[in-house]
Amino acid sequence: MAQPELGDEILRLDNLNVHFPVKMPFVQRLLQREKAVVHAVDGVSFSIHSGEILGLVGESGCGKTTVGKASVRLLNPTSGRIFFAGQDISKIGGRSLRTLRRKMQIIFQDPHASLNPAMAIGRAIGHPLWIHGSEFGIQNLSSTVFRERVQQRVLSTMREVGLTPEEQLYDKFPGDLSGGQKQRAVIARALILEPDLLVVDEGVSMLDMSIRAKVLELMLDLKRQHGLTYLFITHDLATAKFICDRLAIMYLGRIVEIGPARDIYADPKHPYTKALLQVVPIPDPDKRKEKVLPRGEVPDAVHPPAGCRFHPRCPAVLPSCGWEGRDFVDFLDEHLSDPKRAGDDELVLGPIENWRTNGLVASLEAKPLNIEEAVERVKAVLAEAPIAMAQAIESVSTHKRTVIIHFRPPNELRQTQVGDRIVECLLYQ
Amino acid sequence: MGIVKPAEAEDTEKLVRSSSSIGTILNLLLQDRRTLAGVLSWVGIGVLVSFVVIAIFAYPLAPYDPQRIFLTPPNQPPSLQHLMGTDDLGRDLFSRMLYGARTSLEIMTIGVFLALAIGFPIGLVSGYLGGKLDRVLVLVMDSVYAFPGLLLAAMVALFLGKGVFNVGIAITVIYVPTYFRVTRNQTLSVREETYVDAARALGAGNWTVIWSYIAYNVLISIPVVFSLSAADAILTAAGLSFLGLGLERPTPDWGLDLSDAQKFLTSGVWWSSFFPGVMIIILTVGLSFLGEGLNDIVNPLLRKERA
Ligand SMILES: Nc1ncnc2c1ncn2[C@@H]1O[C@H](COP(=O)(O)OP(=O)(O)OP(=O)(O)O)[C@@H](O)[C@H]1O
Ligand code: SF4
Ligand SMILES: [Mg+2]
Repeated sequence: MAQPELGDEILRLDNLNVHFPVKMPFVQRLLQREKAVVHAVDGVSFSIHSGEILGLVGESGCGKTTVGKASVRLLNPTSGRIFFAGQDISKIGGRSLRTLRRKMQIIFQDPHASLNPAMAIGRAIGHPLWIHGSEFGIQNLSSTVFRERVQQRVLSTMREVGLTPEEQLYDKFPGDLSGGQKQRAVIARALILEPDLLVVDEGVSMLDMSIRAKVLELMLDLKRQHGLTYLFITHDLATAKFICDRLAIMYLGRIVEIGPARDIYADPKHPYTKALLQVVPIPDPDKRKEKVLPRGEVPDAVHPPAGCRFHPRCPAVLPSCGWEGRDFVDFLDEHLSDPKRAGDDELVLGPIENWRTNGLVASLEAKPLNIEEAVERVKAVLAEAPIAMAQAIESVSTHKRTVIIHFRPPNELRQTQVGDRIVECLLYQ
Repeated sequence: MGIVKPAEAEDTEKLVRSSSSIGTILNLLLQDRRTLAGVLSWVGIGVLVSFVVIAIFAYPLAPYDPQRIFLTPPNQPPSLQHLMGTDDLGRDLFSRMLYGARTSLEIMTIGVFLALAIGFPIGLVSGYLGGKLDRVLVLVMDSVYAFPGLLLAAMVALFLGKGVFNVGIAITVIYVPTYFRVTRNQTLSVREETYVDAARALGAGNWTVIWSYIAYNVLISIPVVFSLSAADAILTAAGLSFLGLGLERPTPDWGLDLSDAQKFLTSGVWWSSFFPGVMIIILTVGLSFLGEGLNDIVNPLLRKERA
């Protein structure tokens, strides 16, 4: 099957950043010099062309929803630009934004939460028409003619999305519908405005397996009939495989690989994509977090790892991928917590709280007289560390009574064209 | 992010079924008849309904005109002619109690509904829009709220003068901040709901979002406040009359009658103080039962909805 002709560009993100302030107690906020922010989306660029389904895939918390919400301007971008059908919409607001919303719709994960529990289904589906009534050239919204027309449109849209028997469901409330019916209602509500772009955020992940396939089929049908374009957000690769033309793989606020879905499934390039596709098992992500948090360090998205963000978990990691002070301390922590391996290292190198990290540097103020031994122990520990990490170390030195470990700065990471896709990984640079 | 198991999903849905928030509460009241909260609520509803019936049908129910002065010596103890005895002017207490229900409910209705009509919309707008306006309103409302209720009502009543409507207004002033706070808090949480995001994504402006997507879902927390503030309003109105700031004699009014009767208490005339007091207590306690019962019923519902 030949690659279909690309239509016009519908959506383009250009170096999109969305940062959230970290919620913290007032006093702490006063004491902190620089404001801590969650780098939910950190330099994301891609475009979607008319008639295409782009899948945005990644683990929980990597920023998919944030990209989706920013794309339809439910969130304001911190920086970067969003183009919709060629128009820069990153700064518009008020009426011009509201008018534009007709053309771009979003469907959320939880159909139950997406429907106002106090609004009957028929009215909910028709409400967008009331909201945009004046743009359809209708002056008097309460006129019987308009009401009749809205009702007819709602009923035909309900039929189209398979929300039948539509006459009976029209006056039901969300609480009376099943999950699948509710998601169909949400789709109908989005569709009734005849949008160009539909952002579907985990649109089927809360549905039962049997219903899931049907709703996906429906989305594909609607795409064909209405020439819809989708940004399809999911953490489930099976779903993505079923529906997407292209895939964008996201990790910690960045896109690490993007390209035609079939090719990515056949031959994933980025180590993270490979891991996702289970060619290689992913190292447990929670281990690192659990260790880091109690020591008072900040979660990953606030201070993302240096260099390639995937390096602490990457099975193919290189010495130049971004090793830094806290990677060593994390490894040491793990080492010390295993008494068999650690022996009496704890006496010399512990407790782990005594280590300080600052970017590429990790340092320990050694106990008196132990400085030489501390250096030896560090070197012994490093012999067991991942080779890439050990090789990334420039020097283990001493200054007065402090042991200092210096890492080499990482290589600059660039997005690289590899065949028909773009990959962000040093292996391909 | 786990997939909701069908059984769980059904459970949640049973609670949030049915058309409207008020409808939901009624449904739950019917379901929960056996629980403590249900019993409290139904007792409260019973009391309120009885008093409303008494107030409406005071004329056919009362054996005498409440103003009529009997020429027998005053302060007659309860008897078959005068079920609750007569007061110091020789008026039939039973009839006065029945007509007093009318006065109390009138004041309560004016006060509480006006407070709702003012506090609810302001709370909605303030909570949804936030910003400077919100901060100013919170400050103003909090200062009024911090003022002792009866003192505030007394000041307003003193300024406005006596009469059912004026006492109603005095009570309104006390309760506007209560409705404002409850509405605003609830708005702050409803504002975070996905369906509000969804409405904004549809292109709805602020007013549409507030009116069509938030107001109705905030309304669910109102009946509780309504009952509790109504109970309080009865007490406050009685207090104002007792202090001589409420109603004009000879309006049949429990607080006024209580105030007139107290000086005879030492000479053994207990009935003319006892019955007005009992009326005030029954209605107040009934409304409080309803409020507390509804609170226990509605709050788990709110939690469930948010889950
Ligand atoms: N309003 C917010 N305030 C602060 N932090 C936020 C906010 N919204 C999201 N975040 C943070 O931003 C990061 C990305 O969140 P996002 O919801 O976009 O992830 P996601 O990929 O959609 O995850 P999931 O698969 O769980 O839905 C997370 O670390 C999250 O905690
Ligand atoms: S740059 Fe590539 S090899 Fe290096 S850590 Fe990242 S994904 Fe792994
Ligand atoms: Mg999400």
